[in-house]
Amino acid sequence: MVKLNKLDTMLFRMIKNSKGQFIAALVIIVVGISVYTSLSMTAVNMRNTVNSYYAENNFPNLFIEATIVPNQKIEKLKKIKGVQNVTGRVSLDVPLVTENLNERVNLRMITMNGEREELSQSTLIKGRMISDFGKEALLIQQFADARGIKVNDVIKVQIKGVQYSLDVVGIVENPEYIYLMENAQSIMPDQDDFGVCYVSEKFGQQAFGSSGSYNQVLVSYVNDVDEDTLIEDIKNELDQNGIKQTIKRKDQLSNSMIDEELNQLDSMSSSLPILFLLVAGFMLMMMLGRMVKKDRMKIGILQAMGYTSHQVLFHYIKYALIVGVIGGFLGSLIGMALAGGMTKMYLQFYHIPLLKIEFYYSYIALAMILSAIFCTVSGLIGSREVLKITPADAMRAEAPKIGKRILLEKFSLLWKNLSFSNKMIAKNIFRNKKRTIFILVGVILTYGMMLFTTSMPSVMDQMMNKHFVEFQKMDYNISFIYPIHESAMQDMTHLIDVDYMEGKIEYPFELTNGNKKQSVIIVGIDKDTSFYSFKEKNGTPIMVPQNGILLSENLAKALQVEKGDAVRIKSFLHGREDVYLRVKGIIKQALGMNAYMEIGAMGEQLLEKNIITGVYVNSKDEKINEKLLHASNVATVMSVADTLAVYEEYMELMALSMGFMVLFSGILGFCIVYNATIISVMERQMEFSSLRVLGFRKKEIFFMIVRENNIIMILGILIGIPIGKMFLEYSSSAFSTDLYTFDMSPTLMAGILAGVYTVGFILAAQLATYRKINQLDFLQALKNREA
Amino acid sequence: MKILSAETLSKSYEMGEIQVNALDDVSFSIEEGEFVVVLGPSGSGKSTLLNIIGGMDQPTSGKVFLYSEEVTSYDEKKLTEYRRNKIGFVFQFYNIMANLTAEENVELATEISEDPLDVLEMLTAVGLNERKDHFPAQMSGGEQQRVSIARAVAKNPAILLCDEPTGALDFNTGISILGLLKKVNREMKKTVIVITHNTDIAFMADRVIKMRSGKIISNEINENPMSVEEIKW
Repeated sequence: MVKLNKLDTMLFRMIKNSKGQFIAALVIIVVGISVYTSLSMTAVNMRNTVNSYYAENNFPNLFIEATIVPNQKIEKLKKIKGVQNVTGRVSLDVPLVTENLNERVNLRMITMNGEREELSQSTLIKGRMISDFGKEALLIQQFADARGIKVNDVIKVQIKGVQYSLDVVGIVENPEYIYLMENAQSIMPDQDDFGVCYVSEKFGQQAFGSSGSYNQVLVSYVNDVDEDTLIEDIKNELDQNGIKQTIKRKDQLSNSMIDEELNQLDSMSSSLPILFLLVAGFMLMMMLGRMVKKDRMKIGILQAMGYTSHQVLFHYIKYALIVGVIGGFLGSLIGMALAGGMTKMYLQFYHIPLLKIEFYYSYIALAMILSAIFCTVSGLIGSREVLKITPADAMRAEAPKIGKRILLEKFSLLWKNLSFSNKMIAKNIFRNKKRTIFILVGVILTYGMMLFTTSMPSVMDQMMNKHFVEFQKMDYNISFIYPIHESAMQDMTHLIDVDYMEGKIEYPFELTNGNKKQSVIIVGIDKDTSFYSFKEKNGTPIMVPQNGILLSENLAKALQVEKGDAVRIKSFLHGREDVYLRVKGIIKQALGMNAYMEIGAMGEQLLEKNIITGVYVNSKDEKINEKLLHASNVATVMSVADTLAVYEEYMELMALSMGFMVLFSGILGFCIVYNATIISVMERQMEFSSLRVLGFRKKEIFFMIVRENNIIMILGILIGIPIGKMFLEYSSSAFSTDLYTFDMSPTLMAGILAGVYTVGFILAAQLATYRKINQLDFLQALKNREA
Repeated sequence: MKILSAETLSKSYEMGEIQVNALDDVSFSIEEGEFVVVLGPSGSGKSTLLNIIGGMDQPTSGKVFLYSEEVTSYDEKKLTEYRRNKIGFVFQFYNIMANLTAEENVELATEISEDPLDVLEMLTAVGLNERKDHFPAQMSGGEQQRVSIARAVAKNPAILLCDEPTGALDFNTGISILGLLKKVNREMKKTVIVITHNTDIAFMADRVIKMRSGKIISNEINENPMSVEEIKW
């Protein structure tokens, strides 16, 4: 058996005697390291999984949407230098016919040539692949699961006014729909109401009326190709085929959502643990500083016996090092276990049919090294006073601290009216600056994190509310399969009960400014539309201009344009010249990235006069979906109420992660206050002993400490409010993406809730110290002079 | 043979805002194997003297020699070596480590010394063999001081420096501790220097150095030291 040297024996007993504080510091390290390991490993596993899934299923590099691409064009595209493979397909959004006729379920029908596509291959989960003929379909798994559709079931779809029955022969997963979203405005997956279905090319082209042609082209490249040049070459080849949109892999909806999620995991895995390690480091510094001060005599004796200052210093640093190594190890283990669970959860959520979860042991080593370094440095800073202690000094009683008046004493009227115990509290707050600042910073951090967490629901609410209630005001957004003359609006009024209706154009274009490009949908609406309420960045309302264009804030940022600049609208339509339009305003838009024009001007300048691609409707008609089911040119009917209902469900999912955040923040606050209180009690044993001699009860002494902490806590919360707001503002820019813009202003309720949680955890920490305080023999402290 | 000598030692230091002249031109020498008592009231500079000859502090001026080696010229590293191998300290308040047992406290010292004595033999010598697994909180003051002596002697030092070793003890316990120190001096042939304000202890010394206000006022050989049993205070 390895025999410990006596300094180490002392060290382990020191840990045992201060186990509450040791555990408090350890917990913070464990939380920090487990967050680091779990998030990092999950992110790496997910990235590897997604990448290998993409590689195995030939996920394309480019997605092209066009009006019509003849079959022969595909062969021509394959010959372009740098192109590896090309697949053409027809894709059409059609309604699924369900028993509840008023339910609108959109199914994206995609054709596939042969048993297996060359690009964007599906993985068969159940059943078999479709044959070349017959009305057979493969359904994407998320949708099939959500609606309880099984292999051999029959589904009915309405294609251009004709109802078809399709045999579901297989359930698949596909790399294009890992994150199953209908479009960028959807914000979250809604697998109940949107699905993807694969049918044979023969059936699809026949049903869609697009025989011998496609409306989507998928392209993969060889390695090391200049993507932009290649895209230009492809566009030139498809110049006459009415390209609507070219989407690079990085911008593909599902891929960009996953990428965004993984980036957030990465950034959280690097920022949150550092915060926890910093707090733990500071805590260890305080603890060791206090220990060295208390052990002054012991340190002197050890030096008198012949131990070097560095041996003694290392004795204390080892305390921190042990916290770091154990914390790093436990944190990594817990992190690994969590990473396994989290990756599985992600894989299930995203429906990626793989894979093995790998444990990267390098992360454990890295986490342990990181935590050990943090703790060692903190230990060194905390116990550096050891080097200043000489044995002779240690033998002499320490010179008493020079007492100074505190700031509060200058306000004599206030000071005179304070009771003795309140005066002591005030003096302690002002004199123990380090401890006061430590608790203060702890409370500020805790409150800031709590505020961030409690603000999330209201931020999401605000975002949804801003977009679907304040910004857009329609009940239904109905899109047509093909653009038609605006007179079709009349026909709509015959089909459904309409309170109010406006025509719309929604059409994709590429906007450019210098070398900045962005493909977005330009929305054409009435000049005096009732369905949109545009506001400029400063909040001033703005109308749709007769000439010119309005850009959403994120679009203007992406293109680097200001109000008054001109942007080039590149038309994908054959024979159309590019158009330059003046930016008449930059508007706030919480969800999505769009540009807006007056509908007449848009038709005239960019498409054709007097056409519409759909309508916005306000209606109390509860059977809109049912009534439009058989309308041959209606592609999708989006109900704002349904979207909001999906969001409500999503918020329930969010509650779990919010619970974790509250717990983590609470642990931070709890440990800081617990440790600082114990340190304070230990430091002031003599002072409290004197109070005991004067007749103070233990409870009275405890409440003095509690009141001291509470004053700091209230101050911390007050300072935490603006700091939390700043944190939210920073986060709103960090979390905003091309798809959504957060405006994170905390509500009063979020502030109150954050305050309640903070106070709860901090009071719990103080209650935990009560037992410790109760156990202390203050009177013994007056007698003792042990090393 | 001279084991320790001091030449014109002076020491001043600051305590808070006060300048303290603790030693003022102090010179003396001690023979190997002597039992020396340094006597003086509180504030006479005796503890400062002990600190300097024990290598725990440096004088403002003057020199200290162990045999012929000048201790005051040592750097920090050599001073640590000096304390580790040549000096054993016994303090008034025992200052043994609260979270180590009696045996472990002695081992704490022997682990770092070059030529230590057997720990259990030392504990037996101080009469604590039965109490070796007890922690300080489980022992009386006298027992703790015995541990302290065992810890100091177990390093096998040239000189044992004792700062008011009976100051915190009752008379009977104090006498037994003095008896133990005498035993170490006579049987183990260790030079023992006891610093005290208790004039009665001086009767058992071979040499008595009296101090007042940082100066030596007398340095006398006691031709007929009393036995410990004869001392009373």
